[in-house]
Amino acid sequence: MSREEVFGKINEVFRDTFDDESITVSDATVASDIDGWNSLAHVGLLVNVEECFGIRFSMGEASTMKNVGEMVDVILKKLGN
Amino acid sequence: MLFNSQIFIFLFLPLALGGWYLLGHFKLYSLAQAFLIGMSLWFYGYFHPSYLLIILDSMAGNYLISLLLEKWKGKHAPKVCLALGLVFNIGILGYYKYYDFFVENVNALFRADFTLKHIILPLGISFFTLQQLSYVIDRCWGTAPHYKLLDYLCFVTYFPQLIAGPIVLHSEMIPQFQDLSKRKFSAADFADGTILFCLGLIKKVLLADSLAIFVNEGFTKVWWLDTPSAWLVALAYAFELYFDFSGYCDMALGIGKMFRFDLPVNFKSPYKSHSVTEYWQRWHYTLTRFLTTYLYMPLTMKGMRKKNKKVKKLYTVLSPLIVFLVSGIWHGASWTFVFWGLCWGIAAVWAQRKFWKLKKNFASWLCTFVFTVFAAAIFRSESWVVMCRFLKAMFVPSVSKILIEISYSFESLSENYVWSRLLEQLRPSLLNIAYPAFLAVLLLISALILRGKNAQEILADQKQKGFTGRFTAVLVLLTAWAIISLNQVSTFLYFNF
Repeated sequence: MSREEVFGKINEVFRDTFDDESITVSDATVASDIDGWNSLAHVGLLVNVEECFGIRFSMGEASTMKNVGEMVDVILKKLGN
Repeated sequence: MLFNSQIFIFLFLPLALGGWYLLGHFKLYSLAQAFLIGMSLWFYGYFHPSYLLIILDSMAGNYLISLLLEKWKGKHAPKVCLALGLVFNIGILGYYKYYDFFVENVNALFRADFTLKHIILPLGISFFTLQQLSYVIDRCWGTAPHYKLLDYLCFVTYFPQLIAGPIVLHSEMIPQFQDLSKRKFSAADFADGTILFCLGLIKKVLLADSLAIFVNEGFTKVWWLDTPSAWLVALAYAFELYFDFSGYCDMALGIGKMFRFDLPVNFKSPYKSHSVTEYWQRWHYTLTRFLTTYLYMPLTMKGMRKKNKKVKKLYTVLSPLIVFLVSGIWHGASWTFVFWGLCWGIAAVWAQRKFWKLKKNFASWLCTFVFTVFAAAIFRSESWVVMCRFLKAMFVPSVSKILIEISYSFESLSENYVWSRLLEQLRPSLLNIAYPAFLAVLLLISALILRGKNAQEILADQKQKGFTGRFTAVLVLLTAWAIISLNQVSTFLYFNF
């Protein structure tokens, strides 16, 4: 899966999680950029991403992602790209 | 050693800074780190030399766990080391902080007669234990390397954050210790650090310690409090706690800056918050960060991965409750702290429900602020009986003249000596108005300061303006006033936790 494809899918997950169709994420998107991205929503988001890609984040990965770009990097690594 | 003491300001700090930069100047970098560790241990051991054994044991244990993980590459190594780290750190904290509390409750519950040890809580143990626990967990999660011994000791013992935080992470401190470009003295950083230190000292000595006089008297007279006085004592305590702890953190950040190290900002104007969630992002941020990363996230992720929707929902409710209960018991071995944590937990669960999404307006600010004042009253109560009495005074309406009596405590403030003696001679009856008026002025000044910029924002603002003469004059004047007041040295509230 290419980086662009991952971004496309992850954008959908963001829209579903935050119930906001106007969201468009980029590498630099962080929690403060999206209304309602608190710690509970963050965990919900991670679990939704896991389900979408059929992967499982380790606690080390989950606790160190600083922005969406880093999340995509981890997903790509897990998918073997 | 206290930041707000003359030995620290006039002997320890100049010596520590001088030695650090002198050794750095001669490129004796490892020796400089060893010197800083030695100074930090002096700072810590100054309270009680026997504490040194505890912190040295704690550091040795955690470093050995990290070393074990480095040498043992087996599949089960992270899990075994994680269990070892949890047992070791919680065990140390449990013994020194909770032993008597546990025995007291066992005795009460089973009518037993186990002997209490009356252990005096070693300073900073709650802070350096969490700091090292976070490192061990990160090691086991595979997100931290094994560091050189000198770097690790520097990370744990670095004196500005050793006693009462901020709770720093290895990833934000050790790279700074390793960065040799930071070993050269910088006049600009030193000036920034001095300003932050002065702002913290002013907050602690002139505001927190003055408010403490009224608060302590209020809690001494808890049985006679009426409703207005109970709310005013709680309000004054909420202000005192903020000025005390954030003042300490500003001083810690300032000293860090003098050494050219950036410590994480722990307070971001918490009383401006519009929700419980926002409040904990602004108040003691590094504790919130620790609890979120190492307790809330693992718990909630475990729950959210379950297929059963009811179980998922249960975890989203239980996780914040557990986090705040742990936060409560971390603050102190007492049922009042457990209750305090429970109240915050319930508020946090309530706040995360969708139906309770308030817009940011005056009402949401007021609700949050009133709740923090209520929680402050619980936090300050030294026993369950005192807490119940205090809350009764707050919520069961009653009026008396006790407020005037409590405000007479300001008599002991040296700044009030001249005018109060004068008034006593000329019109003693006016003192009944003067002391409550002094309280009103003090609360008003506190409120105005809390509404304005915080220390970080003041510093950034002044840097942009190039430090105005008026700001410098006021800072020098207030710092001199604070230093003169140091002969009434008081400890920081968070030293007790």
